[in-house]
Amino acid sequence: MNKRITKDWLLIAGALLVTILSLLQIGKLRIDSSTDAFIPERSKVVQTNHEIEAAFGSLDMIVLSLSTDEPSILTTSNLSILETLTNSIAAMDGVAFVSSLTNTEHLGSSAEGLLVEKLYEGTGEDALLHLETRLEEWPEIYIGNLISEDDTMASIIIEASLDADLEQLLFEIQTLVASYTSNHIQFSLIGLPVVTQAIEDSLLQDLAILIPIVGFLIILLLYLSFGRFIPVVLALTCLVFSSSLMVGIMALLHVTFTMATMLVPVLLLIVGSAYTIHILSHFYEEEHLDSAEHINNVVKKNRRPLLMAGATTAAGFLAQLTSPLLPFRTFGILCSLGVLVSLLASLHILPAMLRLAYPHGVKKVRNHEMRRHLDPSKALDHITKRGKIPLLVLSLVFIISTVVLLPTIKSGTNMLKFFRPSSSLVQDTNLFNEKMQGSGILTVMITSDSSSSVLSPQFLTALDTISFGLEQKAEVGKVQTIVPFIKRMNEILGTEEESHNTTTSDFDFFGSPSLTEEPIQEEETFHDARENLYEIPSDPEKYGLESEEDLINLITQYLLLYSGNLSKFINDPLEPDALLVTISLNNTETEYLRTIKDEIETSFSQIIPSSWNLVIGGGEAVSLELTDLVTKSQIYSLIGALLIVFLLVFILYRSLSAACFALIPCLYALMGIFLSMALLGIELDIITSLLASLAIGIGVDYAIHFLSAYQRLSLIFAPDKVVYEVMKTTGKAILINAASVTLGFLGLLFSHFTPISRMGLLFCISMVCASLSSLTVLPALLQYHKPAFIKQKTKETQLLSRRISP
Amino acid sequence: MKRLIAIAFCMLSLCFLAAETPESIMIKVMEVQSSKSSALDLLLTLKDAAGQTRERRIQTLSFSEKGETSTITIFLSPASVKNTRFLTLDDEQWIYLPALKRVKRISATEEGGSFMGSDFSYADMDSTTYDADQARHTLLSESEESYCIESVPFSSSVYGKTITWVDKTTFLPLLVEFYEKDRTTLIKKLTTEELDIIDNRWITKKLTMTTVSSGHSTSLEILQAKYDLDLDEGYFTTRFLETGRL
Repeated sequence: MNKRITKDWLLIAGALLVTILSLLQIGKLRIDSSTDAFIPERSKVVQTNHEIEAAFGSLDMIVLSLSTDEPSILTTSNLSILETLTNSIAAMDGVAFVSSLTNTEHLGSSAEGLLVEKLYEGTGEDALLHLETRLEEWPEIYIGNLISEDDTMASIIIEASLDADLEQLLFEIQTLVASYTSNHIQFSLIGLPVVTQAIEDSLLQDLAILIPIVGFLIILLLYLSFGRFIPVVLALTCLVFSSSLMVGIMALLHVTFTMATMLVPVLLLIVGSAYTIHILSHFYEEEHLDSAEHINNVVKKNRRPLLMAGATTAAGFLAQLTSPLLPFRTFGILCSLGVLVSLLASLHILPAMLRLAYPHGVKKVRNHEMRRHLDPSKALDHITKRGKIPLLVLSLVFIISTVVLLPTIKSGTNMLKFFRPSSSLVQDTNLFNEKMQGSGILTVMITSDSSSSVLSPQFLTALDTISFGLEQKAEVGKVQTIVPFIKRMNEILGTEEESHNTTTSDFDFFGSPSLTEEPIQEEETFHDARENLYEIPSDPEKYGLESEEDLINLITQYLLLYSGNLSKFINDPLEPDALLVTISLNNTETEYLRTIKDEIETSFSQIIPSSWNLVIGGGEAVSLELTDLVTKSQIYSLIGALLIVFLLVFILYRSLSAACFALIPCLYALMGIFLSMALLGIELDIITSLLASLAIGIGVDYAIHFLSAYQRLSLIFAPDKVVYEVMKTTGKAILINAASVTLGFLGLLFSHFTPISRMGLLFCISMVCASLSSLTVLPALLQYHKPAFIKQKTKETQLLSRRISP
Repeated sequence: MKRLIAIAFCMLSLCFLAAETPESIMIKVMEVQSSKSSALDLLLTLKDAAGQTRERRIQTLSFSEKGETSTITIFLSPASVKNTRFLTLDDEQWIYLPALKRVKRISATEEGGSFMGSDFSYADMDSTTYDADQARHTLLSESEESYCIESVPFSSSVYGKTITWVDKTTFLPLLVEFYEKDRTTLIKKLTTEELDIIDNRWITKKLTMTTVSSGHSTSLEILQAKYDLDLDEGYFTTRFLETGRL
């Protein structure tokens, strides 16, 4: 006996040590909340973005917007704040480029040529007037980009260097902005890095809220089930052990803590609670004097059914291995491993604690509170026998509705949708989308087969036409290309009226010192200064040139004057062979993104020769690709889970029809999920797509337990009594089990993140559907079909027929 | 004994007199690189991180008098900008665009802008080191071959600081590191590849500027050079820029 006690103490001490050591590893967790963590590095869009960033710099812009409730933000005091912020941000580490009204240079014209001057000179009222005039001179560049059309919002566009510490940079910007207090200006940070950082900041915070809430719900459930505190403490110890161990393993193995993997400890608390309830309910069920012997019997009786329940749940998680997304596969492996740990904790640590907590057995056995009040056996038996037609009708409505509404479910991975619409991040972004160019970015990189071809007037004119067409769409805020810069330089430098004496000879100081002997040629005036020259020079005659090549040369000479400042649009200032088009969108709904991306691809493909290359990248392209992968992942994992579960049941019963019957509650759970998603407008995203296979894994337990009980009791009772007898025992257990898991998942409703709270809701619905269909549709069908496997009696079914909870 | 002390004192004084200060070193660096007039034929080879190269060729004529420098830059390649000429007369800048066959005045300062898409900025093309009155110079270290001097510009500049390794024999820079305004982030490195003697003076014949963050680099090679020429002032006029005639 002493040896047993020592062993139990050692086991518990070991578990506590592991728990503490695991929790100490939390600091080592590497958090990555970006969608980049989900998308495979080898995927085409990631490669495209790397390619674009190598040629044109970072694609992820941070925007600090300043909005005012006054008629205009263009006041001396507001511009002074804008200037100070711009300068302070420009001096920060990791900032590659900053642009705002106060540091932008304006291209103006003088009597003799080009006048590059500051857009805002910052010297009083005159400066304001000049600023307004200059903004009107070149609205294509400034409006929507640096200032809103109604003058109430201005923005500071910040490009981080590729190796910048974005977290630190955003912190510095936020600290800087916080030091400004103005009654008339509202500051907001917008952009993908901001959203990513906000998720990262909330991730651990969310976990810190969810774990206590889920823990509280589990405590409540345990107390309601057993009416005493000791089982609550013992069960919680097991759950904390298994959840902590998995967190420790994640930290030690450097598993990235993503939106998916963060759910592992929470899910283990919920799923694991069912196993502890199972053991505890059997322990408290009978009065006994020797806990050691009693618990040995309880474990012996329940090991097999628990292992089978765990196997099916783990199978549901393992189905994520079919996903193309690494964090989903990691999530699947970790959860499966976690289920195993939870099972082992329930089968070894919990019994050890029970032996030590009750050395002299349990003298007073109380009826389980929930069980006492919950006795739906008669009602369920009645529904099964008398309600076949209503069941059939309801099922048909359920099935038809699901089939009809399934295609209306939308997929989407817009990270902004993780936040509630009332959050400041969403509201700031919406305001920016409304007033400025839009926060969604798609980029088009066009690569030509020879240098400078992308500067051909024909191509640039077509590019201008497409850009204009796109900008007419309400959802497109702005299309940024090199075109306005060429037009502006042409407008300024192209205006001349007088004749000129020029030489066309080549100059070489070292090769032809007799330069002075070159003939003078008289050139004719070739256009009227009054003519609007804000255009791509595409008519050689109009510019006194002979060919398209001359026009390309003219454009290149314009570009020479920009001194490499157009590196966001062309990959070389003189001989570019790649050109970038940046399309800002104020609508990033997946369906719209898909439409606009196809349209962009089609229209741009029409203006480029077949030997050129066109790729589409940017944050929204990643989002679109991720959406497709999430949909694919959902389909694969769903099929995978159904197949694994089908095979498990087939192996267990050696019957195809048993496997088919076992899938019925799973299908109802799936229908519940998809119908709710369609009716409530919930998108299939990186969190909700984890749900279906998980619901199959947990839902099939109910079918297995019901089938086992039905099989066992049908050998004892008359056919018309079997269902009632099953309902009295296993039926109630299924309901309690479903209630416990549902209650746990209800805790997810308190998540900061919309997809996680929706996942909680959908899981609850799926559990209700799975448990109710197990207790209504399944028995009704069993009674109607009377499948042959019910009459077979096997060792497995004997063992599985044991109840799974009180 | 007194005599010995006196000798030692004199020798010590001589040593101090002969020792270079960071300012005197940088003055010499500026002096050896300057001339009253020069004509240079330069080849710039731009190399991106993937190893792809592009070539740019220019010729420059410079003339300095009374502390004022006039420069004319003629672009020879690529073909699209061939014969584009750029005239700098102290604070005035003019450009001749061959496609338009016109001269235009440009009122702009593009110190930080990239020169022809290379890793050199316009300021780098002017000079990569600071004179004694332009920056605070500190001798960081000294070896048998070189001085290592940190220069922090007095007024706002493209760079926060530079560190220059100066060859003790020629007083030409062997390596220059350019830092961000935070004075800790290295932006670019200028490495001397080849020295040569032309017209009895040491010159840096080939040097490479590398941008640290992108791995992009530009080699600048002097193909031909002439110094202290009698250049006609007519070269540095808008008339020459426009007509090609003196």
